[in-house]
Amino acid sequence: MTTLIITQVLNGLQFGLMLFLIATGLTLILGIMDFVNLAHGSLYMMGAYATATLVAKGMGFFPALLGGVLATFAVGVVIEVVVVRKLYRRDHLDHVLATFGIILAFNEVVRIIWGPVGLTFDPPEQFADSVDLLGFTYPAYRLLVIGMISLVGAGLWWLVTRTRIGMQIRAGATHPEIVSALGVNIRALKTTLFALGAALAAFSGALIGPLRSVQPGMGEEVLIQALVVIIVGGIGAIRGALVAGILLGLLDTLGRAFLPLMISRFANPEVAQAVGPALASMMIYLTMALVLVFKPAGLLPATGK
Amino acid sequence: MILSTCVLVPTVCFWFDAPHLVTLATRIAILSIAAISLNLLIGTCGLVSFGHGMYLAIGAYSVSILQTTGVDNGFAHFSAATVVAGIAAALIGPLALRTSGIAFIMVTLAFAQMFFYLMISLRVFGGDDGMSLAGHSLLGPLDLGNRLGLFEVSVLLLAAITALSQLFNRSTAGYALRAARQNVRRAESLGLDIHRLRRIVYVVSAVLTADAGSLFANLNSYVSPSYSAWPMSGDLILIVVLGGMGSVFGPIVGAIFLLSVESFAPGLSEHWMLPYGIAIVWIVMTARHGLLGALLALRPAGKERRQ
Amino acid sequence: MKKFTRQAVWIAAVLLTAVPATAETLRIGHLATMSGPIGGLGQDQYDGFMLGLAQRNSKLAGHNIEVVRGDDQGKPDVGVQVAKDLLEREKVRLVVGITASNVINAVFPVITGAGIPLLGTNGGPSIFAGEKCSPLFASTAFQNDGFHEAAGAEAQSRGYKNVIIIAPNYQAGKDAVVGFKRFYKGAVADEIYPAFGQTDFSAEIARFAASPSDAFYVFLPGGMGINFMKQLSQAGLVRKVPLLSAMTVEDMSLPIIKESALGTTVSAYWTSAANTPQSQSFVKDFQARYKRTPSVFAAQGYDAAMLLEQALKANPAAVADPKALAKALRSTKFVSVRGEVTIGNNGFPIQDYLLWKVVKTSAGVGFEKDHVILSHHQDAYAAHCPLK
Repeated sequence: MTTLIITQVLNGLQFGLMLFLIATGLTLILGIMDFVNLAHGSLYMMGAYATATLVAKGMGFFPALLGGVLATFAVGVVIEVVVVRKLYRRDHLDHVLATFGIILAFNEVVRIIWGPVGLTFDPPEQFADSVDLLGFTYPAYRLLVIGMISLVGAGLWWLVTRTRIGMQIRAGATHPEIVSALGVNIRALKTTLFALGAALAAFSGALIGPLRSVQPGMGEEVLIQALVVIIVGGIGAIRGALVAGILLGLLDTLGRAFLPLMISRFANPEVAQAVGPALASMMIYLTMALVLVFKPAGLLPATGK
Repeated sequence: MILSTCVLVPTVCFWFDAPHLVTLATRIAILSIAAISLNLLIGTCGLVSFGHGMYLAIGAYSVSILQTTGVDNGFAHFSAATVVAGIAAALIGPLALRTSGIAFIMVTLAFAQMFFYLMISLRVFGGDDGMSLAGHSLLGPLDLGNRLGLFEVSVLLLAAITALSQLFNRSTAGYALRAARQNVRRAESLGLDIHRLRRIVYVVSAVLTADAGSLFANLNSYVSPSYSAWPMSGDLILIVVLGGMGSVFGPIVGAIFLLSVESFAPGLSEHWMLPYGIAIVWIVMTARHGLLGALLALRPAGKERRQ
Repeated sequence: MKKFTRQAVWIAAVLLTAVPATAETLRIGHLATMSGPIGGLGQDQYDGFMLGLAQRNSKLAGHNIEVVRGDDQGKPDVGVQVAKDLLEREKVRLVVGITASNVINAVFPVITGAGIPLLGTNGGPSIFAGEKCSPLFASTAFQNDGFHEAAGAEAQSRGYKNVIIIAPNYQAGKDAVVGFKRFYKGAVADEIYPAFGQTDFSAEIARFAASPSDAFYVFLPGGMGINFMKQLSQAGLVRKVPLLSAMTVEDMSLPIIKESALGTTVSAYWTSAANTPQSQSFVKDFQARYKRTPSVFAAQGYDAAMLLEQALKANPAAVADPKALAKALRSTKFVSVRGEVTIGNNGFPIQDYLLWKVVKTSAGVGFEKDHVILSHHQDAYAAHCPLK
């Protein structure tokens, strides 16, 4: 039982980190640029498709991952210049509607190019199996995912808080006039930031590719989860997204793992079978509702907003 | 404006030998009711509910569940829908209204998704398979299983709700709520309790949507938990925003556009969603006040459209 | 040689039926989910059906066939709208197709209520197989429970003592477990019901790993199954414990799951590896026309064209009479790609369920026929159907 609990906690942590990674790009763009980008899920999908295509062309996993991220970065630049740039001053609902249109178009483009069924690609060979961890086995690729997300998370934190471009981004969000008076090109900065968000989405899509099938519409389910994470964490807060991601990942995983067992202790098996799974699938929504009712700004809202 | 909707009714009689158009028109009318109700929150209060599908589902299940117990009285169906949705909204509203902006969007989504998962796992009510209606609502001598009858009732209800929401928007409360989108305190200087008003509007909007849901169940002869899932709630928002949330008539235009495209475009190409998606992006970028705004701008020879 | 005789039979059939007394046009509505996440299924149903018609130059038993295509987008309410369109605007006299079980629940009363026959080419839920069965309904696919009953029978005959089952948390998932247990009498170590549409199964897989079971039974259709099998394989559990699945590893998902399913077994009545001559030529023709391997959904669509042809041959006058057409569809024994099939009293096929192994093939990973588990199997709900 203890190894099962440890495994499930590790599963929850890993799922939570994935949620965090998907949410970061979204929360950056929403928090700093005040733009609601529902197409984040589509960029996640593009990253996965681009990487899958490169792997299928015989490229190694890591170069393909990089290629997928760069390709989606370019797509992000195009979307920002053609559509998003013209909508910054508009209402949030206009953002929602326009990016919803982009979702529909992207899903269809993917269906036309790659077909309706979907693709898959394998993890790098040395991470294809599971490894022994102090008495229990765990899929090696999931450990790799944990490691890579930690790395990217740390890099992102460093970029935003410790570098010049990060300072410009943060300053540009609160005082655009002053920053541009100082000679910083705000337009280019925003394009870069949007494309960075796209690259982050693509990175998560590519990383998750070996675990899930790459198919049209894969972005939407993830989008809703990512929105839940950033709302629980507090809009614009990378730290909040990390805490909320891990919290929700753990709650969701442990709920699915142990709720049916726990309920069957008090109720007859029939009822437990009906209630347990239903309650487990509501878990993240229940958590979000509770958090929002008691802390409407989220657990760790970004400071200065 | 009631006049204009009444003109619709006789024209439909011309379509008598094209009954499918009556079905489409009924669908448009019903979802317009839901969208206008939702627009009381979006347009008037600036609160975007991403969970109105739940009230649609509550109204629909009110019909199907009562039908299984042998109650086919339509007034009972609509009363049940009204009461249940009213209670649900009175409980959820105060909680959800502690938030605003994107948080409000997500908290309403959370409740609707929970209701969705609840209905999926309730085997007695068909679970994921949904429920077929045993019969239709009887409003006195009027059987809502009758296509034309259902259409007339839907259009009359739509006309009534359009008129009421127009009146409401022109009332002091309507002005105050719209002013409160920018600044709550200034609006409250009119002597109205904005928070209380918002709670009331939330309940009214939920109840009207539930009534639309009861009509929707009669139209489809079928009820599904998916009415409560986010794509349905998203479609309602899409109808409101696409049509133009600034006006009472916007959602009707949005419903006509969205449902007509959904009905006819798949016959033209299996990849219809690509041009459709691009069209939505284009509409947002060019038409500031939705489709209705764009239509109105066309009228005075494009005076305003230049800039 | 076989091919020659087959063509000869065709030519003979065409000659025999080329000059019927009155050639009429039968308008058919094909309603399926052609877009959205499960759009691939509807596309296969449609392509399979159209292949069957194209091979006969859109003429069945001398009658012209016109097909109007409808897309329900996987939404029940859109399905009702499109079904009404087909019936009222297009005036179709037969509806073929239907992909999702929630859509069939919504459109079934609409179509049969209008007196128009419905020929289903994908799964059917239990509601319309039992007390609510309709004389206007026939299916070339399956009643949902068949796969699971066969899997249960297989698990029983292999002597498993403690099986762990995973199925989505919706009606078909619950039905799957009931169907499995109808034929499997051993213990059930755990029943796991993940949420419909779930993508990450790490928590469930850990429960698999921790349970003392001696076999796995998996029913996770579509994308859920693909994700589950990949993740199970990465956890090193696929070939450790015998795994039996239904509607999870099939011809549409196998090219994506690939090696992760190697060594597992599948309960199904048809795969593209079926070795009947009809099936082999169907697979070849489908690949030539659409450049992909047909799935079981395409086979079900193709079989609908076969059944329709047989029914119209048996009663040419049925082309003008919906009731007679339904009756002919239900009473005709037809040669499908899975062999000879009869339609039961509730409209669902009585057919053999087989066990298939997932093996390495020259082209990658494919199926290999193992043995018949249940022959001439009829679902349990037929007994509750009052029709003869």
